[in-house]
Amino acid sequence: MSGCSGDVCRRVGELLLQFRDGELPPDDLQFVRDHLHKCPPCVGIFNSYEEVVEVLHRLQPVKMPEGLLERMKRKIAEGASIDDEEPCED
Amino acid sequence: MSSDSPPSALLDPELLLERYGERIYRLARRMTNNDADAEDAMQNTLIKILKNADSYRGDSDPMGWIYRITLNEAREIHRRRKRRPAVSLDGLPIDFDESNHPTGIHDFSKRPDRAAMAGEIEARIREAIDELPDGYREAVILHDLEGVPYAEAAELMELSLGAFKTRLHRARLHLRKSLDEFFTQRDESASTEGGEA
Repeated sequence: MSGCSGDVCRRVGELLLQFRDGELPPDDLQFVRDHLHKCPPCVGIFNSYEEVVEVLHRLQPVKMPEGLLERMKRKIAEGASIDDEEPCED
Repeated sequence: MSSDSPPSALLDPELLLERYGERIYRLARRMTNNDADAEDAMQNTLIKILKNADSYRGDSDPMGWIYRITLNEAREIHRRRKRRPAVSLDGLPIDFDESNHPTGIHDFSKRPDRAAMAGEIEARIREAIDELPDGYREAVILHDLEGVPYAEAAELMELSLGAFKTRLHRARLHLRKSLDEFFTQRDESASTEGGEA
């Protein structure tokens, strides 16, 4: 990590979401790119951050248990009630 | 477009379940991380929607309103059942050394054994999501798991766009750190076993 100061690493750490989304203004974009060229730990953080987002997107979808909708229909028809009945806001 | 009468699906249980049942269950299941709790949250959500449909004043797509009720009901149940305290995410979840450089970072993105460990990685990520404070967990679930765009997710959580992104970013960094620790522990135990053999 020669040539970089720790405060810069912290700042780059804060900007990774916007960097990944391509939302950084030109000056900040150059700042992050320049830093990633010379700081292996920050490159490691960025690559593994990317990996986490991919893992999240690949997580198995939730499937509804068999017969759930029918059970819910029955429960509602039977007049199930809940404790908190305060009106909801729009 | 706003209307004086609520959409018909909010008044008819069959239609409500048919149109929105799956999405309500999915969000409730992600939030509670448990089948039985998800069913309870779904039931409470459906009853609340039907009871309060007359007060709905939004446009013809009530999904945001439905999501908000689901979030509240599932959060309440999750809080009641949760045993472990959530991690703190007041600061950036990256370890820094005394000179403020990141330390203990492993780039696990190119490990050749990732595919073989997909099931364990998924389980670890689910655990780590469950450790997040509510507001951070909800950001990940809404945006990264349910695909709700930033602006809509921020609105659902009643946050500014910037605050929402900060939460999502810190939550992802926490998950990154958890996976980093998972791989480190795994390598250490493999090397110990190798040394003992």
